[in-house]
Amino acid sequence: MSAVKHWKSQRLSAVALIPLTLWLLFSVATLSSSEYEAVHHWLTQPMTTALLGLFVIIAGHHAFLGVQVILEDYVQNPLRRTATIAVRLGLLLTTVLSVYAIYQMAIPTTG
Amino acid sequence: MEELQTMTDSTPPIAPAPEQPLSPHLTVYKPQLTSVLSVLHRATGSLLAIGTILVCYWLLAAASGPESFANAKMIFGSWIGQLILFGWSWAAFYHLGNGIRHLCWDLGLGLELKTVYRSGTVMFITALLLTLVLWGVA
Repeated sequence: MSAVKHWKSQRLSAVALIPLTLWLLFSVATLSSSEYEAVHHWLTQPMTTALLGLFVIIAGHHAFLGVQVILEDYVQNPLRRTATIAVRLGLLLTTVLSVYAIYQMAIPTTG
Repeated sequence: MEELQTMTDSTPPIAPAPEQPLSPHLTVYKPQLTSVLSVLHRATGSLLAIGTILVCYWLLAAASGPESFANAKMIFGSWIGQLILFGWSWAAFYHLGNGIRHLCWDLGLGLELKTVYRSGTVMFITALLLTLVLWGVA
């Protein structure tokens, strides 16, 4: 990714994350004492699926861009290259698993 | 054209690109409100990146059924779980608030030293208050 693209991507994702993060924090806080049924019900709402899906994908991307810059500033190669790949794979894994979980709850189970 | 040719001819062969310089070490930098808030932005950002594991675990637990969800609830409900969640929510509010400052600076707003200090103080207090409000809601 070019430096300009990286810069723009980091800021665009930041702007998108402002409402998404506030929504998620306050939604989860109000659900914190709820039982499984109530939480599961909330997680299966189409609005939750859409916003939560957006959140985990954009947050994972934003996190990678941020950590990448920190590594560029404080870690010298060749360790930096390895660390960057490790962070990218780790964040990709949490994002894919999160999307999988959201998707699984969104589609009604059959049989 | 010819001039350009001679110029390129006389240019010495390109040396290997030097290793990119690293940022000044945090330990030799005198702490000021501005630098502390900046370091905290990166620290909270890193914590939130690690926190994606918690979101992922919680979602997988909820998707797996009542039993695994009850397990997750027990872990997050323990004192250490609550402490982590409290710190995590503060980190999120802090990073969000300071992120807004960064976005303003990118637009050329609030760059005067006095304003930078004032927005830093306001943001820090707001992040703490929002964290307390969030836990009051819970």
